[in-house]
Amino acid sequence: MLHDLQRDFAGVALTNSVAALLPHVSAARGSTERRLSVYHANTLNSLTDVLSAAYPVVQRIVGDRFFYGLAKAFIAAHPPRQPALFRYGDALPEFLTQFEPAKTLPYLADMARLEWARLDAYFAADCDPIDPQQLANVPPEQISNLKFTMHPAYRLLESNFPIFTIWAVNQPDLDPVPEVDFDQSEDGYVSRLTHTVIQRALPSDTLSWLRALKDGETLGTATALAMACDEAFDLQNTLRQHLADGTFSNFHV
Amino acid sequence: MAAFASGTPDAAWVEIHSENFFVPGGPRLAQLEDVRSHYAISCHGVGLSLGSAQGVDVDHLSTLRDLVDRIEPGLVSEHLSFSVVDDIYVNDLLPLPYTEEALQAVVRNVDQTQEAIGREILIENPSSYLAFVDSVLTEWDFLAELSQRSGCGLLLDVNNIYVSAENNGFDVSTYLEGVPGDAVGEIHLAGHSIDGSGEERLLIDTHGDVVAGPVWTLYQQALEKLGPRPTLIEWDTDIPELEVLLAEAHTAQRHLDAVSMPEDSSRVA
Repeated sequence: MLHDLQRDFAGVALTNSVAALLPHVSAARGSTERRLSVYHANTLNSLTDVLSAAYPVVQRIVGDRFFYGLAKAFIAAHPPRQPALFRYGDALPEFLTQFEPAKTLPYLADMARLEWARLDAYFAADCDPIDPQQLANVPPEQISNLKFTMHPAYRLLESNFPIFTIWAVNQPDLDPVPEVDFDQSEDGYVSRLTHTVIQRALPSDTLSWLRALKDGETLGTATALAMACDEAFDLQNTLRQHLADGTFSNFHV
Repeated sequence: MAAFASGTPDAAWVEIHSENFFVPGGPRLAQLEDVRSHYAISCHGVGLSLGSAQGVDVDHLSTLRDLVDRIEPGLVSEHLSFSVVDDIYVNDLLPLPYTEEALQAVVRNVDQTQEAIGREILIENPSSYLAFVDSVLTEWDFLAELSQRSGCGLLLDVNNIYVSAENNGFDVSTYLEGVPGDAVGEIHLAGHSIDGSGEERLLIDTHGDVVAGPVWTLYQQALEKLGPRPTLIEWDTDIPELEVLLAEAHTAQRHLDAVSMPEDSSRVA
């Protein structure tokens, strides 16, 4: 009985469906429906705030009114499943690919994926990156057999749109705003260096190299794949850059 | 939170929403460790859903236990409400009917929680906008029974008493008289907003304004009955400058000092 009542109340809070609950509640004065609407407004507003905090660039691109409508549709279709909200909104990128009113902005779902990757990286487990000195101690003949473990915050992203550039031009107070070539595609990664989320667009050779290492290939195999993409692939500089970015948390032979 | 991480503000303790720190890692947890190094912490949960007929989520409970082990808070509290049903989480503190069935569910869930984290928790009275036709107990009798059967303490939110009394037409003094004073381990104060007028006048618990005059009066009444209790000013929407918040805390401290013996150490946060 209590369970049924609670299911009815959740329906009020999430979608303002009051009919089932009305016979069970009363107001000391005035309209009972209006009092129930307070619970719906609280729930909708607080979940919308969670989505706003997770997707600031999506909101900036579509504007507040559109975003609130999107949030309302998303919340009705995907109510939270976990009683902690730092993971709420992970289904929004996929939802956006099917969201009819957003069809005129084909890059929006990828922008949401980038923003979710940033949030995910922000909350990822703490882990010290590889100390470059340790790597320097590996005997030269074993270098090409090295395998790396990626930092828990590390995420690769591939897009048919220039999402890293679009993200950058949508940061507040940017002056002057550079031109965006929407015909460009951009791949890249998001990670966290101690407490700061970082992101970089990557050329295709480096992307192949990182994807291979992430999939557990050896440094030798990854480098061969990168050079197949672009024979000018510069292993030394690329490795140095990624050690500085804390991309790897461990290595073994 | 950054100000508290540096230890600058004059406060005896700091209260956090437990679930905000259920994250695997990153700067938010690191900042909490910094705050912990300067202040005592109170862990105030909003997601355990102690009123759920389906019981509490064991994973949630074990994450809470990890946080409690890590932070070693002075107090751990939750709400008399539910927010989980059929594994959907409604991000609001939804009210319970005050029936024997609901009482048994809450007692069971509180027992399980106290056992899992190995300590007593405080349960906070909700703000409510309506009543259930099936209720057979008053809220204060429900809380008294809950405390007696489970051994939990109470977190008395004075603003919530005022908001619920205005909305549901009961007398705040009767409420205060009915609460088992010895069980109260903490007091909350907060601001509310008034929406509509006449028949449709409704007080809404917003945590987004200064504490209202009648709530200060009720706080004074509560302290006279209970004696001094650790008191927290809640403000989590439209958060003002830190000075405004600290001024509210100082007002509460003056009320506390007026009822405290010199050896009492109840403080405001």
